[in-house]
Amino acid sequence: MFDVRCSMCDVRAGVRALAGRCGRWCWKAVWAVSLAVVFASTASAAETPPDIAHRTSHIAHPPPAYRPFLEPAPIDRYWLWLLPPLIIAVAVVYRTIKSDDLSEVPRRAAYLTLQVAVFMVAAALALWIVLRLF
Amino acid sequence: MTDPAPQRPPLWNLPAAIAAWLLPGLGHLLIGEVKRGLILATAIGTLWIAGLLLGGISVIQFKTHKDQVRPWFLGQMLIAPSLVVEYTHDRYRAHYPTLEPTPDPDGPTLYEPSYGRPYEIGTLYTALAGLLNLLAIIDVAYREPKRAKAPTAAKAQRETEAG
Repeated sequence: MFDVRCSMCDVRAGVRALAGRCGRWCWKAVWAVSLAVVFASTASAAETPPDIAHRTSHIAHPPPAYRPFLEPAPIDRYWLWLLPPLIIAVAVVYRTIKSDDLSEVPRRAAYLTLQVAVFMVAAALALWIVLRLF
Repeated sequence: MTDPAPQRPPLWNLPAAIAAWLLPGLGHLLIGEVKRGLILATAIGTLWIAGLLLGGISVIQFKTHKDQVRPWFLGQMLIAPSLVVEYTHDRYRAHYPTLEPTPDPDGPTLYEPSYGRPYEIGTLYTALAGLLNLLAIIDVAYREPKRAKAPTAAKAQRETEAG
């Protein structure tokens, strides 16, 4: 399915290929695994019943139409996709404050966003593995 | 005759810090960092408004219906408009006769309390916007004003050229 090969050592994408024979991080493999984990997490989150259905199941009336700022938005199924904007905002604000030259902000913020996202996925993957093993 | 003492920049800029708390980015605008201020205002303001759009005004509250202080509010209050939203939410909440989680089945209410994911994500967005604004407040409090720096450099250059 993931026919991704490292451009340095030609190792196929997989857990072992994250650090291939060339001794470098295979970013293609990292991305492939990261995307697989994100999609798997999203799918499992979509299967779980939303909390609001539990809490308001005693109400016979249908939920009212969405009124901005007064009603909660129906985000129960795709809440995970709301994390990337959070990471982008943190990266942009941090780099805007830290950089003396503002022309560098987009590039450095994009790099920081990537770093945070990769490490969040890696941490989630590690926790998932720990939960599966123990 | 002794030379006058060189003017030292202020240790920290209190008016700019207060302005940054009142409105994200406003402190940087006041000290002449227009571009930086606009970026901060856009990023932090968007995050804060997005949190309110996702969870509604009920994500900003000082105390829960059990009268316990919410630690998240300490982050949210680092943006001054959160206090206005909290006050509005508190007033709206008073219209509910009993506990908050009971919506009025007879018709549209003033607002609907949020639960579950919308509540969590909305709280996270608004609190994180407040904490990011704290970074901006600290930065603007210790940043040398740009307007004061530019004329000084120009003046020094003119003196060099004249001398």
